[in-house]
Amino acid sequence: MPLPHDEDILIQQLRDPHTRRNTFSMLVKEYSQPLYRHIRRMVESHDDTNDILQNTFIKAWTGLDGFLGNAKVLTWLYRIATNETLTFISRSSHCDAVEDIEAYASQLEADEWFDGDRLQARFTAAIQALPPKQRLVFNMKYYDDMKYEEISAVLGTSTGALKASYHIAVKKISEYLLREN
Amino acid sequence: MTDDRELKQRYGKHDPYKVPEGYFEHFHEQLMQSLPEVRPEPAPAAKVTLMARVKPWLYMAATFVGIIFMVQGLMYVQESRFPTGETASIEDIYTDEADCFMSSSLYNEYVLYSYLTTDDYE
Repeated sequence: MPLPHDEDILIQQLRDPHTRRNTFSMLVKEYSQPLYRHIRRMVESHDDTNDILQNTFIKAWTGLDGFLGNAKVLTWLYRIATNETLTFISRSSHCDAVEDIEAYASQLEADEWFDGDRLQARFTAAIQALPPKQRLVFNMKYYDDMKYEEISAVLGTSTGALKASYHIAVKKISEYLLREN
Repeated sequence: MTDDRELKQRYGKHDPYKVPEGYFEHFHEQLMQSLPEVRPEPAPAAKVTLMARVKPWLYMAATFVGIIFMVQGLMYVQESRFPTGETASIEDIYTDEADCFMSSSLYNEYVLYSYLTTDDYE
């Protein structure tokens, strides 16, 4: 049984105790990859990402009764994942914004879980040098192609502020990469 | 260069982090096993207001107050009839109840006199 495309039907199935578990199982199958990517780009470590992703789905499962359906299910999941990620970042010191981009790029290149060349490593390091919330906006727009309205629904920030934030993020990354070239 | 198109052309949108093989299949299975059973929330217990809790005591207090007023009322009536300190004398009784009795009964003063003076009645 595939995940229903109609949001109303999906929410109805999630509310019904008889179909809840199966529908949620399909939801996990469908959305664990984009949510994993969303979290991993922020915290980088696979193990930390795995923990945050698990917490995200467990919180979603236990909070299903409180989900009123006033947002899309995926938006709701992104919101939980984002909050979990930001909480994790605020509690752990190793997720602070990168200060030395070149040194961090070298570190990434040597990491067996990093899949890219020097150019890619510098680009990734430049993104990691952004403040966490600006990094979130950049990742959601750049990698996930999310619309500003969708990002706004997840982060609770106005689209105007998001546009400005993305513009500044692109400028910072571009300037850094241009300067170092 | 503030347009992201140039970044996309140069660096692409390739996700640079590797994921362990079979991770998502394993994750799904493991997560679904670890999910707690969500029981339907029990119907919320009817909220007992302070008034509802105090009501029986209020009724009881009102009953006591009613009884006290009733007793006091009866005592007042009694006192107004026989004010405190005064006792009913035999004359009072005679003038009221005894006189009434004598006038309504078959016996009168003549009969009583005859009874006391005639030897037949001894």
